[in-house]
Amino acid sequence: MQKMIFSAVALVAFSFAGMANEIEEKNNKIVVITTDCFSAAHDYLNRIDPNNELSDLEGARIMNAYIAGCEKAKIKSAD
Amino acid sequence: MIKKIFIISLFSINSIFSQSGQVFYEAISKKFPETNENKADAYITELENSKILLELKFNKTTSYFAKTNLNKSDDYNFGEEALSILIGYEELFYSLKEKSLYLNSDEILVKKPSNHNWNISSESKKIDNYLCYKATCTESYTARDGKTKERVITAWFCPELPYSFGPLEFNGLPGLILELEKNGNKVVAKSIVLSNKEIELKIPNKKTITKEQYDKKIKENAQF
Repeated sequence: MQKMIFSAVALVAFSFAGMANEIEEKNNKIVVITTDCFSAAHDYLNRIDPNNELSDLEGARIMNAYIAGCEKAKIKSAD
Repeated sequence: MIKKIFIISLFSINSIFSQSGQVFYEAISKKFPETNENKADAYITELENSKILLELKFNKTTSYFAKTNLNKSDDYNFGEEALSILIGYEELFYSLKEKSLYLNSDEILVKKPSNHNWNISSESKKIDNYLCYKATCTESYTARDGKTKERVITAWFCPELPYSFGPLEFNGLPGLILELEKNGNKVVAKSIVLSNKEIELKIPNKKTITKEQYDKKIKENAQF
């Protein structure tokens, strides 16, 4: 009987110890939110030029500029 | 038309007195109407509120067009960058004799001819107390959907200031261009300074390529 009680206590104690590590790991996990800069740039371009009046080169440059700003914003928020 | 030519010739006499000049322009974005499909968001509002200060310097033979130092900021401003693209901003030298533009890009110069077929109208308006006349030209281009389209560029030039220069790549009118509209966006003169002293403007001595070669490089370097 005493052995059983000791075993049960030991089992519970070890279980808590194991769970404590898990809790610590969960608290240290980093949550990463990714922004699809390309899709956002495409959406922006279609909004400012819904009738395709910009040239292909102007469109490309707007996309590049938007993606550059979007990537910079991602780096800033990660810091 | 004959009356117009006479007036322009009369004001051309002024050219013997001022050798050089400097014009400060402001580029302003058009407004984007809010619709049920396109709700305005922060980026569009930023573009609508963006303004860029630009400067044109000229002497008897050459002009130089660039952003002023007042625009320089350490932070990346997407609104200003987008507006620059929409008005077609480039740092440019223009040679009146060659009728050629030189785009100043890093280590190279991009040379392209400047030949706008201006249609001058009798429509006039005052810009900062200068009487200006309307001129339009059209340019063909390949649009984003692959179709060949034409867009109209509207310029307001002042014969009283008989210098065939203007902002961006536009010039060749019988008077200084004080206002330009392209894609609904405007470039408007804010101040004009004329001088009897010659402003020295030298086209840099760099490797020169054509516009076609330059455009190809831009497309190749695009991220998509």
